[in-house]
Amino acid sequence: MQLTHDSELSAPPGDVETVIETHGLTKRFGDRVAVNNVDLSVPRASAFGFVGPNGAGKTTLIRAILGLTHLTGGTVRLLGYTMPENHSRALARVGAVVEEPLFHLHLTGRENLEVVAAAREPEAHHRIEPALARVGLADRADERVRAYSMGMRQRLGVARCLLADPLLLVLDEPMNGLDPAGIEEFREMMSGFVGEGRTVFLSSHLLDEVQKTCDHVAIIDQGDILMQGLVEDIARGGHPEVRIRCDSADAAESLLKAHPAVNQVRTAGDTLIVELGTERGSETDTAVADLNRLLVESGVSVFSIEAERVSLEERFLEITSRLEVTG
Amino acid sequence: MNWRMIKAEWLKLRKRRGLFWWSLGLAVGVVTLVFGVIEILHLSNAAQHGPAGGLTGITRGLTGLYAAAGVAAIIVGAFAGTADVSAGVFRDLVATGRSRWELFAARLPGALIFFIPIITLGYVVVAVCSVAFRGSVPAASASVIARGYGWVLLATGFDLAIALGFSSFTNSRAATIGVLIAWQFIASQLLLQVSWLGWVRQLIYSSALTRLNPSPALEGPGSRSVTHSAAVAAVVLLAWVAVMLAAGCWRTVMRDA
Repeated sequence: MQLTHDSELSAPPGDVETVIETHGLTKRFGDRVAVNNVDLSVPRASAFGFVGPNGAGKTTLIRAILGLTHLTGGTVRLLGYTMPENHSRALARVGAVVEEPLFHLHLTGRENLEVVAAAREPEAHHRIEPALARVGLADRADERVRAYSMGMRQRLGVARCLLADPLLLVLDEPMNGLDPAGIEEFREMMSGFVGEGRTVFLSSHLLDEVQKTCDHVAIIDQGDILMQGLVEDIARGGHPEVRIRCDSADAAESLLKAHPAVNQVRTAGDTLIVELGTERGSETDTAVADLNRLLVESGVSVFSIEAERVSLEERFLEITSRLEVTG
Repeated sequence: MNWRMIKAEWLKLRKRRGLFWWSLGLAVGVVTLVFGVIEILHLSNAAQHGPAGGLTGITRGLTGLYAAAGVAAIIVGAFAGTADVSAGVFRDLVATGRSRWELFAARLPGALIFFIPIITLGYVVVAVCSVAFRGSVPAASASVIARGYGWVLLATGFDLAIALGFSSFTNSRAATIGVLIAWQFIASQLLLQVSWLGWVRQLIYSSALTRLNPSPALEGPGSRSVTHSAAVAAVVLLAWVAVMLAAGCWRTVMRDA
């Protein structure tokens, strides 16, 4: 269900390509640095994963971006508006669930949305029913939130975000408390939002979920952004690799080494592991098809060929453990 | 002033069943009980016990209503001031982009809309009983009844406002209820008896509220422990409300969400 009257969301003012932009953002609590000199850039209409271990500074950074806490230093632009000076205009098109979704437990789901809609523009009231329907809570909207499961509260939190008809959704650990079916449903909902031109900024410590849901990612640890960019780039940590099983391994290795898209070839048992020099996914697909054709046309029988799947989790552990060693 | 936000504040309070029934019990139940007991005593022994109504009855009713409904007003104010923070939704409201000042400003009218019908019902009981149970003594005039209603609204509205401001400042419902009840019904009453405090006692809001009480039985010299003009009493009450609401607003605007 489309929440906007127009099929395409209106572009945010200012820098339309970047919905969140921070420079040197710092937040201290006394002597403790919670967020340290963070430069973050979140492209429009992306699913942006913000990952880090518990206590890394994810929620503090979100609160700083949304103007919920005073900054120690640095600047924030949200939907092109400088914060906190223009917080009313910026936040009018932002929906956020910070930390866990909390509600007035003695009110029903619908009443909780009415309370928040009252604080937004008058049109927000008309978005209550579509929002409840979209998150699948229309039938339970008149029950008190006290009786809701964690998964239902997560969905009600998203419904609350939708009251803003948001250009940007900021969701802090939204998968918490969801069962596998709920997580799958949630993932589809996120991808639907991105398809409508909204940006989803999703904070999580569940790296696998971020990899499945998001196209961009930033990794934070101990208040520092360690890395940010496309998920596939960060996950593989360099160039993509392809595993090929075939006969005539020596001949195949020679052929592959001579191909311009190949950086290097090594063997692992009966498998050739080919590191490609490509940068983007589409280039990699073309190169893989080309290598397959080359081998087959040269008389090599290819039994299997697959891109090596590198998990964000492995990459994250690699980055953070390197940090521990050098630190 | 945003009417939708005021309505939302009213909704939050109205849906608290415990708060509603406690407020109703204190504002209506207590005076009903007091008039009922006195009237029964009067009917059983008219020589020793006067009628529950009349001028004395309405004075007694006003005092009783204020004592009980004053507690209810403090409790309602404490809930209204802390509802969003204690439920954890304050940050979600701030994240809508609505100014914190506006979020705070909607609380008092929302709470008053919740509380005024309750206190009105309590006063209707007082007024009706004072007329119905007057026996052979003179009944309170329409003017006295009307001024009594105005005073009860003023006094309980005042209690509600300072409780709301204080609780918004402390973010503690329990501390607000405890401190204000102890101050209003114990500490300030004791201080009012300390004569060497002199004019300083005029700053105690209990004396200002008593000064504005229109009950006929309170009229005349020597009926109040502290004497001051109605204008001074009004200024004292306004100052208390202004300071408490300003403190609550300041905290609401400045706190991390």
